[in-house]
Amino acid sequence: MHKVHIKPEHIERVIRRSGREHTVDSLNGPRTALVVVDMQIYFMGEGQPSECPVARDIVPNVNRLAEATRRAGGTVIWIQTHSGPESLDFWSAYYDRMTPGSGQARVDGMSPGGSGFDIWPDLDVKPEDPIVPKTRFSAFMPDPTVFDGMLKERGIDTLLITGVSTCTCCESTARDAMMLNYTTMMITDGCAAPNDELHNATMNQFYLQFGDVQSTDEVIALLDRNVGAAAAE
Amino acid sequence: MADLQTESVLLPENIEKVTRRDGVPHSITEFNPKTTALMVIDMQNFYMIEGQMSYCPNAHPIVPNVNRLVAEMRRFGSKIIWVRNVTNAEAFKSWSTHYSRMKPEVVNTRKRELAKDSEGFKLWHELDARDDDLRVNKTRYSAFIEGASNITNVLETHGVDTLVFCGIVTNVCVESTARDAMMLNYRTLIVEDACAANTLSAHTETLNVFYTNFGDVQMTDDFIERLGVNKAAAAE
Repeated sequence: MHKVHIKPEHIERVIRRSGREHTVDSLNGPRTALVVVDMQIYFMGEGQPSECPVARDIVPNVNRLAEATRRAGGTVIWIQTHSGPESLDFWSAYYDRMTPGSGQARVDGMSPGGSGFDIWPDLDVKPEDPIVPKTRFSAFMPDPTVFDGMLKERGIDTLLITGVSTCTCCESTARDAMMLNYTTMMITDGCAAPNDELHNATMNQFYLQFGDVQSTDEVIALLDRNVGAAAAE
Repeated sequence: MADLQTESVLLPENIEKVTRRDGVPHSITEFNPKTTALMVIDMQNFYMIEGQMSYCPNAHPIVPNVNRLVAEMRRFGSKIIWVRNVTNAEAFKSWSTHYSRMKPEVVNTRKRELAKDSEGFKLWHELDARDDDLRVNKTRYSAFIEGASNITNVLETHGVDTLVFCGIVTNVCVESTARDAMMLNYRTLIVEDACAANTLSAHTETLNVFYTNFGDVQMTDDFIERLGVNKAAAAE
């Protein structure tokens, strides 16, 4: 698990600008989605080309968040990267930089049926959870209207971002989400990066400029509080 | 006043990793003047004038490198695009989650100082901006967010497929715009010593992540030298 450190000067600055340390202090379950990014074998399995070992450590937290989100009436969305031979063409700006071997390994690994494509088996994916394909790093790219439209249709305006890797696919999805006007939170112990420095760089930058960052326990408490409130009404 | 970085901030292990994957440490080295554009991000008074809310002192030392890039790209025959942040009533509504996080006085300052034609909105006076350059106003950190600007149309009209980034701040508007550009399939390059952030750590972190996963990162001198090589090759 990453050792998370949010810089005290960032907390001070957020308090100065926003009047509070955490800008998300309440969650409305039915309007909230847990977004689990790229928890696929390609990024998680031992010996896989883009293995990120901490991604295995966060599985229990992601499952706890999924359960709490469902309990609060929210939606759990699994984002799954799809690649294929056509990726080399429509995302040439990415693949043309690589040696042909590197590009082909990525395409093969995350093609449907490829050795890294499947969602990690220990994750608690329920039949009612949407599984959303993506072809870039951000789930909103290249055409934001697809994912954005799906979220709007379900009345979702708040996104909790988890998955792998923190600095690439999670952060790109979270940045785009925030700029598309979603209340966006990255979960500090629900994302995984290749090392603590990269993980903390994203968490600090996101907290300072983009949205909130909170831990699994904090978010579950927020989700449960409104479940209790709804039941008491 | 902060100093300009004199050496690349890319970490040796990232250069090794990219070289292993791409075969070379820098993979964007061929430029066609007609399809390449320089994107200068947010070099506006709001970030450049001391006392302004979002003053970024580190932006001053990069002005000479930005102007060198502008001059060399112009001579090369490429378009210069001055990208500017703007606030307007529509954005306060469509980006309400952003503004609702801030105290009202912070929002009011942004509203006033980044409104079109306000002093804060204008480009910093030391920049070599010309009338025939292109100008794009954006209402989000990233110019590519739907509805944030007309950048996609501008790039399509001019047939641009390669974007060279400089400006401020490295980790917010430069990085967000450059990340989205790369995912929209533009060949994307950030010129590291022509960008600035509020802290060296934020600047360094962004450039390393961008270099490792998104696009190329080069120093001003190296990039200008590569432009020269391209020009000489085209002249043959």
